[in-house]
Amino acid sequence: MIGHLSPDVVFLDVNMPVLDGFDFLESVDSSKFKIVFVTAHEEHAIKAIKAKAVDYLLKPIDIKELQQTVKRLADHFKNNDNVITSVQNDKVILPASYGFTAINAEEIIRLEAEDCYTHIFTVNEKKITVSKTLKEIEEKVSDRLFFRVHKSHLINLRHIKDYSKLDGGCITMSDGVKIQVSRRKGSEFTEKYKEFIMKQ
Amino acid sequence: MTSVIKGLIVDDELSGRENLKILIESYCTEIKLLVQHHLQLKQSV
Repeated sequence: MIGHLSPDVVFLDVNMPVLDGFDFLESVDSSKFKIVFVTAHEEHAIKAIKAKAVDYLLKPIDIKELQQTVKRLADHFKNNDNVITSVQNDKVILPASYGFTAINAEEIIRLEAEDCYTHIFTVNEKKITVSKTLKEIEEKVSDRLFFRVHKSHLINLRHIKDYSKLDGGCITMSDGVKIQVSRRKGSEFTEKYKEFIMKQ
Repeated sequence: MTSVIKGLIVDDELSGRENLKILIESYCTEIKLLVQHHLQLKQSV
């Protein structure tokens, strides 16, 4: 469940009846998110620090402490975002809560927007979610390989399997997912794809 | 920069989750809480 949601931070209660907070951390890959323990018991503090918690909130929660914790987290992620999101030699370097991840641009099949986030789907069926808008990522990746066919979709031209002009235009990607082409992008897309094929 | 942190609350008690959720949504604009349909701690997480 945690893997599917890919949070940046987990606010974790310590005292739970079946799995306590520490057992919970052993059952998931906790390297991919930050942990803030939330508990009524101060004696868990040292264990929480050893479990690499970034902070520790005591119940009842003090609003100012909560805001300070969130501000520290926001600063941390903002700094990571600003420093390392880049494209170098066709490597796309993306921020993650645990550091960064580098993937070959060729391995990206498509990118999908969801509010302030972008989901990146790769050839090994991996889904990476980053706290960047699709527009921000579009500005960074190579326009040789990628094209925005819809306000919510940026696709890798190399991974196009099929294109149908019916129903306003629909692309089937190499992972079988069908992507709708927006009406105003239809002719621009076909031109771009012709150009891409000519350069291969 | 429009980055927002994605947060998840893990608490076996609904009241605990709801209380923290209300505080975060009321006072912390930097975080967007992810939907947690249910958490069965007896099962795999």
